[in-house]
Amino acid sequence: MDTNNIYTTQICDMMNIGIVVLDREFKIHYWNRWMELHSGIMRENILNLQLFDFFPNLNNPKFMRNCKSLFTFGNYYFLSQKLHHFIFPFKPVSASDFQFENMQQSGSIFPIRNEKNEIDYICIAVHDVTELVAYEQKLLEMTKRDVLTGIYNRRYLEERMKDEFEKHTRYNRTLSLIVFDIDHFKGINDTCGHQYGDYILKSIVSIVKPCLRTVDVFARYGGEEFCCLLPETDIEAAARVAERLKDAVAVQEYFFQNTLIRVTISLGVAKANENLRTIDALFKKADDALYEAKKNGRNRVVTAKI
Amino acid sequence: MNPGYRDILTELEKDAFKEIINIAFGKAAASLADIIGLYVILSVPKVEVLQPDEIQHFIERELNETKGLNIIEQYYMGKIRGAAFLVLSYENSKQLLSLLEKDESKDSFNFFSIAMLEQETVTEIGNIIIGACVSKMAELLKDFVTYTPPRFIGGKFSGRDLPPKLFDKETYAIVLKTIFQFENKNISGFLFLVNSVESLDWLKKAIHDYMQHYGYE
Repeated sequence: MDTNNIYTTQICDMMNIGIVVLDREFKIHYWNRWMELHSGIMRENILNLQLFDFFPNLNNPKFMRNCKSLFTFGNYYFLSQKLHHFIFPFKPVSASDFQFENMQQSGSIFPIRNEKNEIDYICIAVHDVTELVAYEQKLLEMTKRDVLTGIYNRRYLEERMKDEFEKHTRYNRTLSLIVFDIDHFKGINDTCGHQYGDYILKSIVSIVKPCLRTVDVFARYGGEEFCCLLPETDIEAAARVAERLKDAVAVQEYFFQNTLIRVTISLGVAKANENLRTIDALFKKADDALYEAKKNGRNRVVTAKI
Repeated sequence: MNPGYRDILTELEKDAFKEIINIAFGKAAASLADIIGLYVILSVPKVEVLQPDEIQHFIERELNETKGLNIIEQYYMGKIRGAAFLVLSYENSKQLLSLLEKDESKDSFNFFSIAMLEQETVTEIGNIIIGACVSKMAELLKDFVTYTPPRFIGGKFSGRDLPPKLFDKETYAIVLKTIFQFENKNISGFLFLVNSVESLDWLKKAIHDYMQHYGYE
């Protein structure tokens, strides 16, 4: 391959993408500066050598199948970041990208033809998309979270409730729901101020969270109202969890301007069953039980009757 | 409508062209099996000469169902240029996963939703089948083509999927339709190649060269 062309060489070396040229035996015929920089392998140490000796991760049926297709039919192969994450296992460039073990890449492979239009080589072009993927993940995460407490928000809860309810109706999976709310929260806000109210909300979340399993969905539903969606959990077990939450919150002592404050929660528990045909019906059942708990004096759990 | 536009190719030329396509697709199937290990049966292609505004209607008529489809679209450019549409039903797309080696799909299942894996698989296999058919067609016409990356369209086929620049009102389109089926698997779909006939003289010459070579003339 004529890589001596002074212009082509400069262009390929200055471009912010990785360029690798392979022959039919998967021997490397070109390796641009971007590849040198990120792999730490200098051109002279890799030219004319087998790609798979350096990158065994590419020695897989899918990669081979598509490269063979390229040599035979001269078509085009696109490697998406979503499916592959990376082509070459390089370290991420910037420190903020350390949430990824590897630089996230997307790439394409295309044929290079000689004067007789025969395909002797194929070219891999690699893009670093780590930053883009990091932004995407951050944005996705932001749409799921409550800003103040960091737990899931109502939008995500509703999404998951839909999924879990679907599993329940389709496969008859057990599903329970706890709805709770902080007793006299308005009073706390009025006497201690909203900042202290926010502090209480965060504190309650930090007490409740460790009492739940990772499969449970814990979300802030509204102002001082929270939901715990408990998949694969029967109503008795859900009621026990609710009691535990109630007790854990009640023992915590808060001091506001040297005055002791105790905060309590009221909880309603319900289980999905054949009489509750929609997710809204299940939610209403738990919410009604919560109302009952409030009416009966607060700091208690009420389990909805089936 | 231009009267007699269907006659831009004579009956003899049309037959020769059909034969070229038939041989091309045969070679494509053979290469897919030999080199890639994909065992695909391609039906004898249907060849139609159409005006651009008839293409959408033709494709819709040829598909039994226009909804619930996964389509891979890819453009190719050489002396012959056009758009390829590979059409699979949702059901068949799902089954396509079983064509991959077991280890391969199991590996990927850990990372991705099945829907995404399906989409990627359909795109990958579509890309290969389109590449095989188009490149063999071009090869027999002594042409070679380059491709745009394949694009996945989920849902239904619509006329909007046809690139307007490729088919202006003055040109004709030679539309090829073939049914492909994976051997031993109950998976089949359609492949449409919509060729823009901008350089009719070149195409006629390529057909006549072929006919001469095989002693038709």
